Order: sequence, then C-alpha cells, then structure tokens
Amino acid sequence: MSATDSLYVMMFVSGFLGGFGHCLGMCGPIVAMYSLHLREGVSAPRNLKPKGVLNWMPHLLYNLGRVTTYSIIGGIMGVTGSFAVVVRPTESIRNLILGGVGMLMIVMGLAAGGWLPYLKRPGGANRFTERVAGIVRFISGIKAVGAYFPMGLVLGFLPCGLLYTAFIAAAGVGAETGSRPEAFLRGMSVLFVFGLGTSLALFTLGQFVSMNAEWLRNKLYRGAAVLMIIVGVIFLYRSVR
Amino acid sequence: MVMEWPKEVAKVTMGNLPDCEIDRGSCSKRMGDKTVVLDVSPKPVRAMEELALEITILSVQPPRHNDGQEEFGWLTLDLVMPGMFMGRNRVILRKTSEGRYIGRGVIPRCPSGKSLWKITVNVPNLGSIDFFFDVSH
Repeated sequence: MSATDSLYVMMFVSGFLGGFGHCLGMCGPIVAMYSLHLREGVSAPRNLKPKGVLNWMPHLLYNLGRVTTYSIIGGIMGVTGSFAVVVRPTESIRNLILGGVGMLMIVMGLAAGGWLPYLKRPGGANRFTERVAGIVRFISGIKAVGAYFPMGLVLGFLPCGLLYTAFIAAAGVGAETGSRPEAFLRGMSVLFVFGLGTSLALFTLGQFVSMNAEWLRNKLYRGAAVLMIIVGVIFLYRSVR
Repeated sequence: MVMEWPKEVAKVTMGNLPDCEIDRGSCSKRMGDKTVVLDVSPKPVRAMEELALEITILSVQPPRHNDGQEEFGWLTLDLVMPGMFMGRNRVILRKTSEGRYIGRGVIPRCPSGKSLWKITVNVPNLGSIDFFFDVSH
C-alpha cells in the first residue's frame, strides 16, 4: 500500500470515528430537526414508490450534498497547497451560515414546542411575525426529496475543527503534487473519503430519528424542542464570538 | 510521508493545563539524556495561520562518536486538542543542521472556543514528549 493509499484509509477512519464522536454533536441536531418532519410525508417521483426508498433518500441526498461541498473545497485546498489561504477569507461566510442555522433552530424549536402561537393563525401579530411564520412554515413544509441535496451543500460550509484537519491534509497532499489537475483531484479525493466516513454516523442518526419520529414526537417533542433552542443559541453565540 | 496512526491522536486527555508559554519564547523538556526545545512562530501563536515549527535536540552529555544522534534526518509532531477528537494532524520536520528540525503546520480553530493544544514530539529511537500550550483565536 502506498503512502497516498494509506492516507485515504486514514482519512476514512478519521471521518468515521469523528462522525460518531464529533459530527453528531455539531450536525446531529440539524439532522434530527429535519428527520423529525420526514415521517409526516415526503413527496417523491412515482418511480420511487417503495416506502423504504423514501425513508433513506433524504438522508442520502443530504450527506451527498455535504460531501460534494467538502470535496470541492478539498480540491481547491489541493490546488493552492495552502489551508490558510483558502479558509481564512471564507471564515466570515462560514460564521454567517452558522449564525443563520442557529437562528433557524431557535425559531423552529419555539415553533415545535408550541411557543409561537401566532404561527397557527393566518395573518400573524404584525408584518415581522408574519414573515417569521412564513419562513417556519416554508422550512417545516419542505417535503420534496430533492431539497435535501442543496441543504447538504449549504450546511457543508459549517465551521468544524475536524473538517479543518482534513483540509490541512488535502493541502499537504496538493503541495506534494506536481500538476494542478492532479493536485485538485487528490485534494478532492481526500475530502471525499473523509466525508464518506462522517456520513455513516449522520445517516444512521437520520434513519433512527425518522424511523422513530412518531414515537419521538409523542414522547420527547417538548424536550427535543428545548434541546433544539439550546443548540441554536450555542450556534448563534459561536458565530458572533 | 510517515503514515502510521499516532497513538496520542485518539487518546482523550482531560483536565490538562498549559506547561509551556509559547508566546513568550521557546519551551524545553528533558527526554533521557537529551533536552528537547520547541519553538513556534510567528508569535503570538494563532489558530488558522501557517506556523513555523522548530525542534532542537540538545545533548546533555557531550556528543560521542557513533552515539546514534545522526541516525535520523527527520522527526514528526502531532498537533492534538486534549479532550476533543480533531483527526490526525501530523507535521514532518526536516533536519536543517545538527539537532535542529524545521517544518510548517496549521492549528485549526475549534468552534467550541477551546484554546488548549498539545504538541507531541516523536523522536526516532527516543520516544515522544508532550508540550501543552494555549493558542490565540
């Protein structure tokens, strides 16, 4: 096995271990949030009729979106051969996405817990609350399977220390490579196998939550809503700190 | 490139305190009959910036001929966040002169806000030694 081959194995193992030990803390609440809504009914093309496919397709697409973003950034890391050059200028965008997700989780948590009563009546209290209500209804109402791929693409930009370490490895591989296309492909491959490793944990969590969504909604909905609000506040705090 | 999985990477160490004020200068520790000196620049040491990492290995005893000091042309460092799995972040340092090794690396920023990091210096034939320090965000 060559040094590069063993790097890929190491990145996969790193993603797999980090997926269960690290990603579940960061992305787990997001996956749980969208998975809780899945059982309510997902629309899909008629050729995807079997219910089993509908169960796992959103999770597959979400993770595919995330891994696509990782792979593209990994390719750019490979070409530049520098982690700092690529990541530092994009940090404000990452924090913006983190803050946006945090705010969304707070609002969704409040809505899920029934603490935003104006969401239930048309018109709302005023123009602002009606806008918030509209956003919440839109997000909660996403039932199209295809929406989960772009969601994964965007959330692939969330800042994450474990992911940064994978980017550093991609930049290192690129710096040792002669041609730019090869550097891009190698950097991309490093992040692709890393992303696959992390996907196993998030896919498993998503499947578990969506399969038990009804039970979780009945038993833990208020608790889950509070947890969602707490995680949202943490995300928001980290984005502005 | 050395590819073995570092023993220290997956080890969770809780409650560690900095034992090296890297922003004030280099840090040194004894390792058998040698002294290992770590320096990181530029200072203050910040996360997400490319850093120059330097290790100097000094013999406490005057060097003898064929004492094994010339056997390695490189050594490795593992950058580890205690208590948080951050993946493998290994830097190879090349020998530039007698007992002096230089390489470049990056310490990623953890969104949790933690700032304590550990550098494990792996010296062939000698073993490894840890330095704990804080980084600026």
